[in-house]
Amino acid sequence: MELNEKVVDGFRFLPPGLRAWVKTFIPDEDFKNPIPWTPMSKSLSKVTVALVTSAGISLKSDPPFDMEREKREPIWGDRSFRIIPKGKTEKDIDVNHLHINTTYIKQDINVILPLARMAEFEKEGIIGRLAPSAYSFYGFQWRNNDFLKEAIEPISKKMKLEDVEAVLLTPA
Amino acid sequence: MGIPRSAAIEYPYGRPVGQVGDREGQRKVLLMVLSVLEKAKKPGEVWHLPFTWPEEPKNADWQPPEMSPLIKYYLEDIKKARRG
Repeated sequence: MELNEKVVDGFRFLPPGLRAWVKTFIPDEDFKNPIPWTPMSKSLSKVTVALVTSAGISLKSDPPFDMEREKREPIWGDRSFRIIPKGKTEKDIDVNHLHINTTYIKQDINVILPLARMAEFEKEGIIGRLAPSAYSFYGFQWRNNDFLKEAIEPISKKMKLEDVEAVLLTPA
Repeated sequence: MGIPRSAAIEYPYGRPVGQVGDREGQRKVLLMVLSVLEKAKKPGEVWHLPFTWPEEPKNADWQPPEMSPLIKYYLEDIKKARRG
């Protein structure tokens, strides 16, 4: 499915060794199991949208994600999550992620958690509402199902309380 | 893993919405991403976005200043994978 001729190369930015290694984890066959699906029941201009990112963003007033343990245990990743309220900017946040250059997010949060852009869309009536809470977790979860229980379950509960109808997840 | 709706973009890791301070560019990306919510009709659809990052991958500077613990841990495997 395409919006035009371009076919995105998901490996374009990986150096050759990493590209070859990552490909060894990708199954040859397409995903066959059922995929959750909720149809859009109304137009975008009436929908409440929440943002989620795996970028390791925390408020300066909250504890940062734990990078020290990961340095000691290379296949462990922090399973917690943080709430980033609507209206927060790059001035309010810290970013911890050992797998990307975090400089750009610290300069402009919108490169991965576009709170200001979505607030503009809310004001312009393009979306119905931007949810009061956005969320960040730490994207390095290596074969770890506990993360679903510890982070995704409480996030989804809070989304229900805030009447969220669509979620935009931006991976780091 | 199965994802209900995906908007694929060929931008460097850590900046999927666009460049620092590029309000217009970020808006264009997001408007197209949001349109996928209305266009996708069945689970698992991937919509490829038409945007092109202005820098060559080697100049995009997306990697962390220090090699990640995982890469250090698996460095021999990575070298082996590269050799094929």
